[in-house]
Amino acid sequence: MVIPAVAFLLAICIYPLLHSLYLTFNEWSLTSNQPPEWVWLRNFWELLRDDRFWSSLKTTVIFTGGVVSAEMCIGLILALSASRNTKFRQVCRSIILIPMMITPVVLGLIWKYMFNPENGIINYLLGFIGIEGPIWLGEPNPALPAVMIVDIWQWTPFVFLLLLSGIGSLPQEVFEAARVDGANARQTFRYVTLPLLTPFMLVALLIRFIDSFKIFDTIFVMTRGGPANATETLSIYTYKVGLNFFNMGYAATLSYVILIIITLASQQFLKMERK
Amino acid sequence: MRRNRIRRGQLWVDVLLIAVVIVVLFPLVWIVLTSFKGRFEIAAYPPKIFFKPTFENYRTIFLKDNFHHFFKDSFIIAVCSTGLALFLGSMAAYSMTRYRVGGDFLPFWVLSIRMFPPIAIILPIYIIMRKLHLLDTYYAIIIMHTLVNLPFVVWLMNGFFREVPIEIDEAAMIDGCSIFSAYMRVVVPIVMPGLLATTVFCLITSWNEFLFALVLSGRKVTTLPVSAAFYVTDRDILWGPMAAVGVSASIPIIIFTILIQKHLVRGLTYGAVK
Repeated sequence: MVIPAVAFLLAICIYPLLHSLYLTFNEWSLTSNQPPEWVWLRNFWELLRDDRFWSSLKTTVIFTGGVVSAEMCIGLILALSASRNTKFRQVCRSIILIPMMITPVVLGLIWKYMFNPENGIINYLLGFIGIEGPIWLGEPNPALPAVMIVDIWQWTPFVFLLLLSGIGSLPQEVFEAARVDGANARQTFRYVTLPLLTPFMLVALLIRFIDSFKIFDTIFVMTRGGPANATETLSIYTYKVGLNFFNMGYAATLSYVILIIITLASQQFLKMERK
Repeated sequence: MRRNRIRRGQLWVDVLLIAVVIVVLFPLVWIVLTSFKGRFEIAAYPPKIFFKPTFENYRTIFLKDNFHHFFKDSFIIAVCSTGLALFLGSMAAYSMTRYRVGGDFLPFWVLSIRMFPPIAIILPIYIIMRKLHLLDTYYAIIIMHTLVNLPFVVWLMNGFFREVPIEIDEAAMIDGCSIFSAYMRVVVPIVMPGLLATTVFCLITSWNEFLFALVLSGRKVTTLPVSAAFYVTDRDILWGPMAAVGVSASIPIIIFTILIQKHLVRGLTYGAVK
């Protein structure tokens, strides 16, 4: 009974991956009628000299690093403080589930509206505390933080809930033992809670890393990678090279770079998790 | 004394949580308000909180821009791809957990598909679908959404099947069931709650998916996220209708989310937690 599913995955996923690998050694423009031309490693060589690739890699790394660390910190603080369960908190929890399920495209549009320079609510609210908000999505500098805010807003609840369910599953005896041994709150946190919680934190880290590294939807909707390529992540750049410029070989090379980075990094995480 | 301090601490936590809930809800409430505003109220500065609600935007999107077509397309694609993924995935999960088909390697391999970025296969998929003349059809998007959902179904159902003791299958087979009918008549009803949660998850994933739908759709078949993304043109941004699109696209999601909230963390962390 396993065969249909495996056959499906082989056909729809593994075959395209191999096809894509073949493309990385070719130069092929879909707009011309020429067949693919075998160019060995020229695409990789081009990649190394492509400034736009390096800048999109840098953007992706800043984006991922920023949002993941912010989500982990805020999520951890919230989870630790709200670990005691009450009716009221259950209601709060159900509410903060909503952002991560809503269509990312729609969220991107909502935030684009709130960030808009003419009468956006964000700059209006900032005005109350005496800050003149920038043209968020229209200038290179504030654009990246703006798209990062959206991701943090959307995914911090996820980290929070995951860590909360982690805290809930910890054995109570250990905490009692720590208390009997006279550990104060800080010692309990440092030597009991934190080590026990580490596996859950690694899981949250792994999932958030993978998903934010391949971010596409919200950025595509909010800025299309602009202004001046300030929010162009690897996924967005690959999309443009492949499906706007139809430069298939080079786009395949880019997509393999993303694939390799994600695979290597997640393997590293999994190794840490096993320990 | 000590108890008092703890209680006060917990009160602060509640205040903190309320602040978080406000931050989370604010954009959503704001878009709902905007969707009921007329053109002039939207352009007003400072932004208005009190105004006379109008259904103008909803009328525009459904009567003039025919958004119900995109709803229909999204709905058909979500239902078909979910059905297909459930059918293939739950059978695979069943034989993996019961008969250890594929050992440890197969579940891990299926799982690794969750890790990889859709952008890595989008180009060859585009080329293949173009050759097969499947661009701009339901089939192409349904197939790709099935791919997105399949590893997810396998993984979640693995967990649910493992909770059913194997003696139950054995009893059914002693009573004369074949493997297949033991599965359909005995095991599936037991895991029904899990199966339903998985279904809802798949529906939401397909409803929200953007990249494949963007690349494979065209003039005839367009899902909601794709049409919403192109509704905003840079020159003349139609915020009112856009807000109405966002609100109506989100209503099914919010209902579904509330239905399956118990399983949500398990679903979202699939692959990383056993």
